[in-house]
Amino acid sequence: MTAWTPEREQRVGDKVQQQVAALEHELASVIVGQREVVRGVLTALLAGGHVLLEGVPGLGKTLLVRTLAECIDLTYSRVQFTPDLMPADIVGSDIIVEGAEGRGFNFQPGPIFAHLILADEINRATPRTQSAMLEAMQEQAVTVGRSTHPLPKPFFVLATQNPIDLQGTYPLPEAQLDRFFFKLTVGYPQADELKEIARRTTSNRSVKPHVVMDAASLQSLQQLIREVPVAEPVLDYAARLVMATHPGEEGAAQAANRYVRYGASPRAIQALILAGKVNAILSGRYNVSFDDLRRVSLPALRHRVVLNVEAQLQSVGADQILNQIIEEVKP
Amino acid sequence: MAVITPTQDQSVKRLLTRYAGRIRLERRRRYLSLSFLALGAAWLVSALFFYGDLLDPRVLPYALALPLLLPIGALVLERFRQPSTVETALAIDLRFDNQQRVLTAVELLDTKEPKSLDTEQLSSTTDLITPFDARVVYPVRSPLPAYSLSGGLLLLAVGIILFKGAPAGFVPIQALGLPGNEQALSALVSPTAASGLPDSNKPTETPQPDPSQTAVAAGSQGNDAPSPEQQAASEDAQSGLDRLQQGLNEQSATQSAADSLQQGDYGQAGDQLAELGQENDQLSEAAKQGLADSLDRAADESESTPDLQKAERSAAEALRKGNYKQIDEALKNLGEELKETAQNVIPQQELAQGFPEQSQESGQQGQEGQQQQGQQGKPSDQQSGQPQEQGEQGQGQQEGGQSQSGEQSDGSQGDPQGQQGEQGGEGAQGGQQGQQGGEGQQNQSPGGGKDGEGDGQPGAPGQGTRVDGPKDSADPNVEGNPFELENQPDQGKPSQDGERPALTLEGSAGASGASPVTPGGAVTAPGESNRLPVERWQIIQRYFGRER
Repeated sequence: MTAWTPEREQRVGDKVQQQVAALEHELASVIVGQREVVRGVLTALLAGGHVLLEGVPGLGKTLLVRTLAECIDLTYSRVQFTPDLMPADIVGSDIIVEGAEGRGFNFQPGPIFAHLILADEINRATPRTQSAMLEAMQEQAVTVGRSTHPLPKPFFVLATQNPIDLQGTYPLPEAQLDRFFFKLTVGYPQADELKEIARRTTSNRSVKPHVVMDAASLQSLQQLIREVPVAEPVLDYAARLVMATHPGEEGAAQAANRYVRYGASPRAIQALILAGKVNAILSGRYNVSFDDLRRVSLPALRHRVVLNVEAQLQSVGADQILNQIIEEVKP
Repeated sequence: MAVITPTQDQSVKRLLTRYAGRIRLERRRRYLSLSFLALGAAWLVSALFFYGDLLDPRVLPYALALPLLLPIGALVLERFRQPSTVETALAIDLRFDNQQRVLTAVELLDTKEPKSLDTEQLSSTTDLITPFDARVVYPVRSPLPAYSLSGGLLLLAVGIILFKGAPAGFVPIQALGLPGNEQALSALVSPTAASGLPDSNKPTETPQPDPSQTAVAAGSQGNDAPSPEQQAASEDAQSGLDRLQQGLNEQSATQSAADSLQQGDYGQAGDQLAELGQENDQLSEAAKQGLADSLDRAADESESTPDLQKAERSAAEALRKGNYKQIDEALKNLGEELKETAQNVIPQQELAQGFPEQSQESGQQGQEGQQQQGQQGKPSDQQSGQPQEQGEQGQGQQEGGQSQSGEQSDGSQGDPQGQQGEQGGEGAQGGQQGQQGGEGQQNQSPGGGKDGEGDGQPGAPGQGTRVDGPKDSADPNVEGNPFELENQPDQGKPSQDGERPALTLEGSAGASGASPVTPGGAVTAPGESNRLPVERWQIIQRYFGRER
């Protein structure tokens, strides 16, 4: 039994905030701007989920994952997805190895066997290769032949895709998109940020981030975050938000009825609650609030709703629809 | 495994209790304020409806009593709508950062297996909220403004109801309508008028002579003295007109015509009746019936003027039928008949020409004349309540055609009586002057004389006595002759026997009456007399007689 003491409360709350603040500080020393993206990535990391980053090339998506891996002292692996990439190139394969006992198969793990995986331009690989990747994300293990090989923990995949130059790409199907915890949109940097980028990257000065966390600390944080209590009305609000994305259902929002073809899956409420807990802890609270859910609803839902033809014809984006839904659904 | 300590538990529950009380207090005041405002508004609406006669007075008590249940209902509603724990928690969260801290803490109190963060959440919540005063965090507005407003509405409603429900005698409420009692109405105008006494405040009106009457008088002046038949006809006509005037005076619609009749303006009276006939559609049924009854009563006593009586009957019948055209024609006909009848009325001046000659020997005759006047006045009073018109009018007055309605049988009209009294007073004054003149002088011979002891015989019928004019026809301007300007004889005309001046006055006290008149002679006015003029006696008699 752990009795409550003011000191303990202070340690827990401050500890989490201090660690995350340090992590953000280290990331900010390398990554210019993109604070929302950094916070989203950290939120997903603390929640144990994966992130899909969407942005044009050159915005620092790869640098972010690499820096994050250096700050947390996690193994890092980058996979460039191309159309000729095979699943075995990702998950690994059995190879024939000749040893003292004769010939035998030996499993050679693929690049996916790392803590942090950067799946660059995942929409360029074939669906077969994508599914191999996504299976690893969901199962936290890889099956090759008859053997299942668990992936290291914590396991974090950060996939990227280019919103332009879509010719010759294989857009991720909705079922596979649903496996990502967050979908973050990386925006173009501002002028000041551009200048800072140029200042940092065109000189001989190089910044090496410090390690502020290890894998064990990250895992304990992930477990602590899951203990954050959620009140029943808050849970009810999260459920109503998800139900509001389903057209034709009870409680569906008007925007969903008009523009959405398929609503979010139950993974959406998982993402909402976990992200809400992370947000509460990072805000210095020990309970999830309605504001926490609203704040994380866009990255948690934008890739989980399938828009219909009317939305496409009217060029209505998912974010616009979700904002209307959030306005309509009151706590 | 974490444990929620009793301290934490009590802290949270104490917090909830404190704020739940504040919420209940706020709700109670809000409900009561709204209920009292609704009560005041309901009362005001009921009072306005009651004032505008849109609400039955029998329903008013219920309309006022039912809204009294509103405050009671408000208290009952507040009792049933006590805030739940979740509502209280949400209300507290709303007063702070609205991050559902208390809401989560409330749920954690019931957790059987609390986690480490659960206890921390409870403690952090209570540490955050407990230092604040609940009265500061959850202020409850004072209900005084609402209570004051509702109190004002209630007072206004009560005032409206009391104003509407004031006693019947309260004049401002009945300001749109005058008292129904005519005597009370005349009392409003002039208290003395109601008593029949002359109203000293009322300016003396000089009635305009009716042109027709003036023409008749002018014509008659140049003619001989009216014959007895003419006098009788005049009396009948006057009597009929007086009856008609009484009848018209009973109704407000014909009040102006009655006034014109009383003033002797028969032409105007006839025109007013005709005008009333054109506008008879504006008369109410009650007014028509009342006028019909009044005309019938007047016709019952107008047997001496059959034409007028017939016109009155026709008008009454038409009024009862209610046909616009018939009423119009009937009233127009009545007006015409009135004018026709008025033409038979001989002014007093002409009538005075037919008075018998007075002897100058005894003043008793003057007294007798007075007594006769009084007696004649009395019978005429008793007969039909006829006015003492002839007794009242002094011989010195030439109010040609002036007919006085005189004392009414019912004594209901004060104003006319006042007018009568005034006219009687005027006549009395004239009569007194005449008496004085008669008493002071004598007109003994046709040649005029200045005896000064002229007695005036009582003029017939009941009139003032006659004073002889100056005996010297060559010099009509005898000293003291009040009629020197009026009765200057034609210089070129030879005086004729039997020609008498228009008016003579009584002689001095004790004189028997007027001296024989010298034809063509001037009229002399006697000196003052201590005897009460006949005209004024009539007034006194009438006044005291009514009281008995």
